[in-house]
Amino acid sequence: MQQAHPAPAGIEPLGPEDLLDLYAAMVRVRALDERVWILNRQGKAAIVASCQGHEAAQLGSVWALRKHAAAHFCFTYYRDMGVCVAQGLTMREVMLGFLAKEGEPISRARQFPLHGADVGRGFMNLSNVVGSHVPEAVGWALAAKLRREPTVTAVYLGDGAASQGDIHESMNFASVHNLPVLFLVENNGYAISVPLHKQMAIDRVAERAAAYGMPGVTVDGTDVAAAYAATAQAVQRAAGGGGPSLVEFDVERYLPHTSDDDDSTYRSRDEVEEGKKRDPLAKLQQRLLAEGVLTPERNDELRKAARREVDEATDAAEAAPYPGAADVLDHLYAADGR
Amino acid sequence: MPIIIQLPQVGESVTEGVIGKWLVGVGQRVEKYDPIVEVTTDKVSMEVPAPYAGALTRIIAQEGEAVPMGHPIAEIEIERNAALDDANEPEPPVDREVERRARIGEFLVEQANAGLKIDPRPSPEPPAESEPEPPLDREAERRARIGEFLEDVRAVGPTGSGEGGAGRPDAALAEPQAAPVLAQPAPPPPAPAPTDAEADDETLPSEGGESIVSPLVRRIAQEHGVDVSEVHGTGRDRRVTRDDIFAHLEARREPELEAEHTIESPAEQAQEEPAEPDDGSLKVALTPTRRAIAERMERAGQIPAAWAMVEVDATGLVAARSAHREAFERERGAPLTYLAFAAHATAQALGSHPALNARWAGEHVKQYPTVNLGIAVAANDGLIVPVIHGAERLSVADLASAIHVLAQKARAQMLDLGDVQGGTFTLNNTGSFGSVLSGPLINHPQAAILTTEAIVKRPVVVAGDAITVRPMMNLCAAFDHRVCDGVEVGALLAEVKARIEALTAVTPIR
Amino acid sequence: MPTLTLIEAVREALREEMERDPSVFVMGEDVGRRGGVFLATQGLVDEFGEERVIDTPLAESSIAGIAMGAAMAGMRPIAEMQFADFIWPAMNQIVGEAARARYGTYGGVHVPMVVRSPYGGHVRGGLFHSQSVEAYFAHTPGLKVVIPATPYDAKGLLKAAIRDDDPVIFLEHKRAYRSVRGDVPDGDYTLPIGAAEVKREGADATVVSYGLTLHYTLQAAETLAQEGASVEVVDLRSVRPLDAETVLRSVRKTNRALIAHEDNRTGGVGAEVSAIIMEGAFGHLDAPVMRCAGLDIPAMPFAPTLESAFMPTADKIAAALRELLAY
Repeated sequence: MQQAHPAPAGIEPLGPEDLLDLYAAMVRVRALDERVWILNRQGKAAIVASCQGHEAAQLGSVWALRKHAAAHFCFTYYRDMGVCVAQGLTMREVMLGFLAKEGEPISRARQFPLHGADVGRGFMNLSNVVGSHVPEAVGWALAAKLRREPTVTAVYLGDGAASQGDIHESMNFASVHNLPVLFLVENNGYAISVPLHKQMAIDRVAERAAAYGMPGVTVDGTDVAAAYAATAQAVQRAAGGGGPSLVEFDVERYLPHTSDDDDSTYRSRDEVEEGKKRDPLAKLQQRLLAEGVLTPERNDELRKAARREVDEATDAAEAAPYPGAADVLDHLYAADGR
Repeated sequence: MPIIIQLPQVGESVTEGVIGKWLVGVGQRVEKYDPIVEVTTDKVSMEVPAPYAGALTRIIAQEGEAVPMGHPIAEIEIERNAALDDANEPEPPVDREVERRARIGEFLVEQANAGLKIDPRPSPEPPAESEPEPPLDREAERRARIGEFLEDVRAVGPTGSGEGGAGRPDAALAEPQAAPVLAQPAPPPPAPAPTDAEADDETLPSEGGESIVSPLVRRIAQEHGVDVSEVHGTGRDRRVTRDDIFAHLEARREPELEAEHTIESPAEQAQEEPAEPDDGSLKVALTPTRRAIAERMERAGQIPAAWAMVEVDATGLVAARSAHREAFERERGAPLTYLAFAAHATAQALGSHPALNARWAGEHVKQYPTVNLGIAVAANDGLIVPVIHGAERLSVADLASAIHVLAQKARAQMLDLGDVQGGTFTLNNTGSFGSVLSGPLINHPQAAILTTEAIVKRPVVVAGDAITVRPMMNLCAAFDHRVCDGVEVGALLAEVKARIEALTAVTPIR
Repeated sequence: MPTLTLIEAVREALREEMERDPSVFVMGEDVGRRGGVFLATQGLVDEFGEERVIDTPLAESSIAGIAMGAAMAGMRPIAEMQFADFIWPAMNQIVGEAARARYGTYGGVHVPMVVRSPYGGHVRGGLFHSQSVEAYFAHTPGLKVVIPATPYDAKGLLKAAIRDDDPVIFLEHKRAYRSVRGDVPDGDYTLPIGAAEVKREGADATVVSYGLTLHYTLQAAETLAQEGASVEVVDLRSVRPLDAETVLRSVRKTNRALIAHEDNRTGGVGAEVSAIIMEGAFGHLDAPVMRCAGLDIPAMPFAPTLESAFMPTADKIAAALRELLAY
């Protein structure tokens, strides 16, 4: 699979300041991601799905939504820690989620980490049934259209989710009704252990877009500038009444599916090592150092600050109690609220 | 001092791991979170991170060894600061003897529960629902609501339509089912006739040849002290029916009437008192209930009674009620009261303290085999004590329902004789009117009475001589000193207190 | 007061709610120009336009999922499943997603969605146009399940369902659509979801029922009255939440209980009602709780004779009542 998508016409490429911001964000997300994996190996975090390798696609696309949509809303899936952090979830809040502690803001530790909703900060991740959120995102976009609101809805999904019937139904409906929604596919080549060629008989998920009557592109999702530019074009189209688009990010997953998975049973170490060469963080660091946007000193500061922030978040979450069970029945129905 | 590093619990269903390569040697220094050893489990291969910064002093689990999760794998000499940093979640020093004995299941259960804390926030009153209904004449309304069922209307086709001419021509197929014949005068009920599969489906399963006594009949018989085997049954298979019990009771009605008459004699005496001069005071006529209360209390006053009180920490009680309340009230339509929990604790405790579930019978003490718990209810015209029979067999939920039903019946003056007879012990929720300390009078002829006082927040001294605020409740007991001594009452109170204090938000109530 | 059929009452509720609240809209298969295959939405597209009366592609899962998404965004969608038998592709969206949204976000989002669907048989619908589906949804915490038996109830309960802040499954019996008529007041009123109603008072036995079967039950009660027995009929109206108090009050009075419904017997609403009676009125029972329900076969075979064999008819309910009263 190869991307060959030059910066689209009409999209201003990201400047040094934005790139540096994106780099700092990526450093933070990586530090957080590495720590929660360690916490799992210490028996403290019950389950972790890493976003390593996906950061450029996640952060680049959110930057595009911020810059090109008057308002936006993200429907995420379990691997989208980068999107959640970009939407404003703090490290401490993320950590409370991984340790299932009191004060976790988006589900009060009723759900897996990063699952729940924060409508104010513009994201939700309701389900572990892969792909189920996609029709809901289309419904969110339908509501925006009916109310004449300028919201662009972005729904993130993996290549595995793309096999679900709900995705077909959703893309079809979104296109029939010309809805302002982006289908953002993070294609890392594996649905847990099943490789792409056993999921689909085509090379790219984006090829399907044409059949629904919407544009579809595949870009290098480890290149933050490319991820940004392709998303920005889709956002502009949706915001201008042009309807839905599919953007497929070609990304790498170099850790197992989750902390509960052993990928050595189905992936060669050579393949994983090859994938690590496309590390989006390393690539951006190299570029920014080469272009002089980032100095080694600044780089060191950013990494130390991220580590410090992660340490503080870890300590705070470890010190927090588990939630009390007194409200275990609350919020089943409207009448059960407090 | 070195601290033990345990193999952490990793994975949703994994119980042990095989030690791989040690990445750090004895004497080597590691940072917190640095990988120290490779471990393989059924589900994953992983590197175990160092829980502290420090120097590895001993490797306990060797390469190739299978180690249950939670068991020690190494020792580390930690740095002072790191130890302080982690004071909130110390890895407990391992007692090796206990460790060897511990079965993995038990150990994991302990781990899983460590740090769980129950939040005893009381739940607010549920908001009253007010759905306005349009004013309608009630009879007409009822008819209108039921509607008119037109059996002969053309059926809606299987795939829709109907009115508007779009219906399928075959939609009007005649219904094979005959309309019920309404004009016939009541015929003798025909035996159910269906011959095919549905016959089995709707016939009651056979319960064998012996005569069955329904719960209702059994209850009525019990309340009236009737032995069902002595009653002539007229129901199906000579089953004893409710009416059979009443017919049987009719036969022995005379002596009972006489007995009731005698009880009224004190009231007659009162009427013979000389008239007082009119000082403007109001003379309140006695209701039958008031008269009965007066008579009972007079007898109670003659009992040589003594009192005792204990303090109960109601934190768990509040949490338990709060956790179950909404679901219970939604399902049962009855309030889940603290009283129900107290009743449950009392009935259970009485099971192991029969000395208090008793009465003074002159020449001997009579102890009862079952707990028939009287619940004092403030009805409109005075105190009345309906009885929950066999309370020791009922769950908290059942007691809450039973108390609700009895209280409603009491307030509607619909209690029947069986509802107020046969009590063996009385519970009085004096806390309901704010009391925190009562000296109750015994409900004659029972041996004891217990009150539950109001739950109030008070500063209390807890472990470590710390002072904290807890919801506290007093339990007060009065007992017939002829029947037993303070030691038995103390034991009963201690058990009731222990049962209430053992409640948590996850204690089941069914 | 006008007399309406049940489907006219449904249509009137839909129209009035769409007039009252611009966030209410209808979506489903054939609901637009065709007005729905049963004509429940007839005329709505003329009045409210295609934006608010959406003819969807033939895809039940996304009908439910898209309605749920719009509901979380603040709209009040009414999704029509053309037949209750066709609801299964949407099961994940309704039971897996919508029912869990509020709980799983600690109240962060909620789903004010109504899923309307015609259910039930005895209309020559065969195995795939006749099913009663309520038990599947009544089992699910987070959902409400409403089944009106009369036009008056249908209008008041559908309006309440549309205004409810939680997902409501609203089931309308196909055979009742045009065979049940009743007075329905003009204008606005709602009825509380979760409140049963005693539709006929009696002293000797209680029958708990709902939907079309309620009418067969009332016929059976009338038959028994002529035989000298007084039968009370409780209409549940909603099976989740289930009004246990009204059921228990009635059974404590009559001491005998029969539950009648068209849904399959095993694991049906009758099993739950029976358990509620055991827990709350055991000492009042003078006979075992009985059920008169659809046979335990897929609803319902096509041939008219087989339909009748399946159906809990007035005759079968009356026979069950005689059995119960003779105990």
